[in-house]
Amino acid sequence: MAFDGFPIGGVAAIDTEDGIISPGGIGYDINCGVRLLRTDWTADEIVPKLKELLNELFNQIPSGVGRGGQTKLSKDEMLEMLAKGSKWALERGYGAKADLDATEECGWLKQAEPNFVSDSAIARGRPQLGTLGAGNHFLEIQKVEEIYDEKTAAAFGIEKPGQVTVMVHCGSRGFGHQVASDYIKQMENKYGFSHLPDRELVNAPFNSELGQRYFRAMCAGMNYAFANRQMIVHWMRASFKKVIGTDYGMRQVYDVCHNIAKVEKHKVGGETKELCVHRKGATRSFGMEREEVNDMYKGVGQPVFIPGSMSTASYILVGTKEAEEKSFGSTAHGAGREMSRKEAIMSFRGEKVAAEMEKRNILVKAASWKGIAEEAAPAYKDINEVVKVSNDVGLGKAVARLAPLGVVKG
Amino acid sequence: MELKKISENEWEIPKSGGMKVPARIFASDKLIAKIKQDRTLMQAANVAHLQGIQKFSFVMPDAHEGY
Repeated sequence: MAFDGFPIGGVAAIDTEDGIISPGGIGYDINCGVRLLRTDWTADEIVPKLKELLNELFNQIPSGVGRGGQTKLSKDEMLEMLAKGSKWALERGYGAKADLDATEECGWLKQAEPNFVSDSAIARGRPQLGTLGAGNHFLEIQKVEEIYDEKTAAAFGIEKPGQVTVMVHCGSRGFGHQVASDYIKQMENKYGFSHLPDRELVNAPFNSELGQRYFRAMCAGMNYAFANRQMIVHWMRASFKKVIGTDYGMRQVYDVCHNIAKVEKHKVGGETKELCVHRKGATRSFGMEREEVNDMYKGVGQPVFIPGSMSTASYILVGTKEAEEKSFGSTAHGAGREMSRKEAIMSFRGEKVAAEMEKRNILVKAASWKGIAEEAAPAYKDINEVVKVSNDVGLGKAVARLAPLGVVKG
Repeated sequence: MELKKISENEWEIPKSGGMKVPARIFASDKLIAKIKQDRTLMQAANVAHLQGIQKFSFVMPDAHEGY
């Protein structure tokens, strides 16, 4: 069943006292997000090894529909991972504490309650941890193309054009999907949808038992995605170490979520209210003064990443005070599809898309040609225009633009 | 559906029917033309009906309907 009563790229901030929580306002891929690493290398140093690197990344990090990972956790281990997110991954030797310090919520939603997650969600999630998945998910090796705000860029570890960065975009796999499906069904059964303009807006009062159970299961889904990206980053570093000889300088800039609901305090008509901010295909964009901003970016602002489509630029932005006033601290999350996957498959051939990218010196490796066709750039809106609006309105200020060198497509 | 231009990059669907708040869209002329091609605006107006929603139902510049 399609479940898209909320637009992708929608934000709804809802009073926790008398309002609702709606799984459709968060999306199926709970905590789909973007993580960026900066490096000390220049594009000239990496390009000769690019093909080898992409092959190694492709081998280390499973991708594609339903493909399983290198690890299959026991049920007890799963429950611990769901409770602790990136912290669990760190304790198992994936990555460094500095990664957690540079992650939204430090990669660990403490409100998570794994016991509110169904057995079928656990069964779907167990074999998929540490995998990229399919759809628009990807790993990308990039170079800094242009810097717009040198001071902020330097605070993010972005120093000069030509510098190599590495990005991963993925979420909570089948696990998040199952959590969303389970609770949509329960909410339909308990509260119905006849009072709503669209069945797909089904919800529960935030403070009801069911609303709270969903919220805390959704937080477990967030932790799954954080742990997933933490493991993937570990294998990204391992791949560079193997091919280039070292992973020195591969420091995490940040990790942002763009399918979530979070409890935040915001000013509404002069009054501070506690709100459940639903961001579905939208990125949190907090200015330097918000208490939620990680210590390392206090006085700077939260990094925001807006990846483009497969062969176009991605942007680093910084959160603003203006966004807090205008959009409850939210901005865009990507280029945004303009064409459905089905239309894209009918319009483009994967082989041809890849050959055209190669002519522009962008290498692509994918689990299937179909996956490449789905993600062809013309299926998306113009990322430059999206970022321009965000920048001009003040929802997030442009810091730097990144150009793709090589892509592993899920 | 009524769509008012508020500023260069901001649009609004005024409150009507059961909407508890207006919808606010951040988009340039070029992007709003794309956004209008699918059900995004209707969905944003529907979201504005939700109990407890504050200020606006927001639409980001990259928005599209779900597939």
